Amino acid sequence: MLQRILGGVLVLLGLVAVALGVASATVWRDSDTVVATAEPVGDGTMVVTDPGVLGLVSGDVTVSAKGPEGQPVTLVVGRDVDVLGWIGKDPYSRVTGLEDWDTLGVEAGAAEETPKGEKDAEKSAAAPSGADPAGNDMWVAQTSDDGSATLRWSDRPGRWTLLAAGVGKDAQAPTLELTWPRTVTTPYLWPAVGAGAVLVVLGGLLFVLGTRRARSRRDDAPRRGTGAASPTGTAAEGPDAAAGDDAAPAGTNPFVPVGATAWSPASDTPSDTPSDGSDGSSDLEADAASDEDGPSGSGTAEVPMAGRLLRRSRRRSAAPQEPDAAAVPDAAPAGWAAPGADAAADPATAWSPAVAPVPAEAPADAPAPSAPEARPATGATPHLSRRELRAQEEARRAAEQGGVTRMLRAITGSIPAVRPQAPDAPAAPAQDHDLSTPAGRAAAWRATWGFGQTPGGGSAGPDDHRPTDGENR
Amino acid sequence: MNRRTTRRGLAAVSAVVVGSVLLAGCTEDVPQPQAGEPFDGPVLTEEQETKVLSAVSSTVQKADKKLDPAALKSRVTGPALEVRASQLDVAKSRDDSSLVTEIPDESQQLVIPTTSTWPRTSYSITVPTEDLETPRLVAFEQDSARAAYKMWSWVQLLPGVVMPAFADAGIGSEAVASDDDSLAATPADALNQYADVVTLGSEESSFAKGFDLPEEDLAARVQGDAKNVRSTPGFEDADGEFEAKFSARKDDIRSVRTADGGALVMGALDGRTTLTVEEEGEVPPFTETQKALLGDAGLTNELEVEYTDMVALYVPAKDSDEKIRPLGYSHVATAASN
Repeated sequence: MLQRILGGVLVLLGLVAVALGVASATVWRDSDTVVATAEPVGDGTMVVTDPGVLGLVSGDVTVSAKGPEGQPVTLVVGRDVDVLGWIGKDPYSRVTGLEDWDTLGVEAGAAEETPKGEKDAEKSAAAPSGADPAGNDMWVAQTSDDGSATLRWSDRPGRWTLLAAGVGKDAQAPTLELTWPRTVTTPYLWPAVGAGAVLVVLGGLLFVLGTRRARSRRDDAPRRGTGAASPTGTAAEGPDAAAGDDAAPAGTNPFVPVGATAWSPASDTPSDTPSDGSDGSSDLEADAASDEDGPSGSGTAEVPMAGRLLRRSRRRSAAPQEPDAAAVPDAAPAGWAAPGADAAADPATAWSPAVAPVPAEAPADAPAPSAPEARPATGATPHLSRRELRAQEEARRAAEQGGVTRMLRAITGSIPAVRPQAPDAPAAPAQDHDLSTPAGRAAAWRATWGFGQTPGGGSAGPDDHRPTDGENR
Repeated sequence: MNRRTTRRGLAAVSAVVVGSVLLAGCTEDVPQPQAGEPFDGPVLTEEQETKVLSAVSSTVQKADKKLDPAALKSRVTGPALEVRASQLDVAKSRDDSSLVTEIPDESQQLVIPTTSTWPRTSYSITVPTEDLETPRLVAFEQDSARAAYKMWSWVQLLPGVVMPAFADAGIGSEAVASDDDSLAATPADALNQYADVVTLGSEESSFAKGFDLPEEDLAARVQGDAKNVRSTPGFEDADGEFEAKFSARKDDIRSVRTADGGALVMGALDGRTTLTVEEEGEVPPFTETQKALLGDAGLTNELEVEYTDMVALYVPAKDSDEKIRPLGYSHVATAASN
């Protein structure tokens, strides 16, 4: 669960990171231009930029000055001494720099102390306000227009200063707008997208792993949980009981008939094996159990591998926690308990022939005691029966389908991947080989790898496949 | 396993957090203005100076065409305005502008000052005129920051004169104060001494030895004119007296440093010649200009002509072996009376 949550969080974070990265290069991408405005302060008809302001963001700047409608505006660029000399003692607004990216800092221009020898300062001061700087020989760039004027300037070394002046009687200082082009980089795009992708992949892996584990656990859980009433519970212990308890009272134990009785002929002493081999063969058993589900179901070579892998991981996770549960056969009986009922109802089912060799007494005995046990189980877990029905239906369809389709499916391996869970039961009897004997192990091995199944599979296959699919799902 | 994934998850989370902090930090600080180096070069570029020249030239040409001295004022000032206005008046009364000095607007050398205050004076040496008269040395002055550059003075360079070397227009030349004492003589003194030389002639002036006077200098011209007047037939008989007096104007001095540490000094001399003959005699104007200036006034036994002379001197540095050299002059009568 924690894994899944973590996985989900990681995926989310990854997506967010990707989104942030993309946004940083699109929505939040800085504008290609920096536009900053300066509102004049105080009296005066002039606005002056400090040296360096024109080249603040980039070398090329477009200056536009806007005054009241119809009032001529003049923009000039000159050396700082020339501009300040031209202004003389007149009041003016001084643009000191960028306050933020949209606003220029403006101060009231301090009347410069008259430098020595600047005789004309007083003359300038006496000049009427609204004087027009246009036409002076000192400027290196100038433009004038009514209302608003625009000037382009490419910065060059030196203290170049812009002077914007409202011209005429009662003129007002214009509002300045400086526009610089800017090269915008998106340094966060690819790092963010890359990191996001990594996060998503990591998270996805975690999530999938977590989901698998959770599902496998859940798959276990219902069997135990639903069966908690009785069938599963007993079923879970069933094999052990069957194996460990000498299986002697086969007749009494509803589960034994199929599993134990069926094979008892083959293995003379099923009772002996469990005690010895229970530990030693537990792995094998588990493998066999898992594999029996896998290969028999798929009927192909690939699936067993998947089954194995799956089983192993499952074994790993399950082993430390619930050694009992590890023995999947536990589950299987629960599964086949229900089919068992069906089987009884439908004697013509494919596997019955396989069981046929078993003395008829067993079935004869078995159905009676098993029925009561099985019924409640199906009743308690109706979905099982539904699943089974579906499986049967599919099996029939599969049987109807030609060999080519099946082969195709086998090749593509699509069957195991999509087949719904099917009754585990049919497989169990067929594969609940007695592993204590070489013959049983061989049978299990054959079953696992699908040997010897094909001939019988023609008839028995469809049903046999199902368990695996359920596991593989 | 779980612990590991947890740790990995934590790392991922922290990575994302750091990333977003970085993203948030992408609002860079606004740049601060970097004031460049203070200007210490020429106050005008050559381009600007060339524009000034053509602006002045076109103004002057327009005035010349209309023979309207008032039209000069926007681009002409100082001694140049006096002289030019007088020339235009004379041309108007004579209905002939042949005596108006031609000033080419094409420059062969610009001398641009580095003065950061005002007034500022720049200089231009023009190309020879179409009539192959010698080039003019013209001074332009910007009186105040809001004023335009105006032609302040011009002189015709002496034939064969060797001009001192000036700093390149791209570097700029230092203006020299009229009382600068790093020179063989301060610009003011040099002009005063030169005025004395012009008045008295190279032989009589005590300052003449400080000057390297070419043959076609203003002093020689004035002395030559005086000699001509005095040698006019009947001058002696009529008890004629001719007197020429030149003095330097104190305020009209503009100087700029030359490459060798000397200075080019431009100034104006006020000249006055007085010619008197016996009571019964009559003194006719000697030149067309004088005639025009005199106008309809009847002749008397006295003729007084005023000149506004613009001169250019080269004043060497103090420790130089060179003497002060006249470079050019403009000798124009601006008033006459009798």
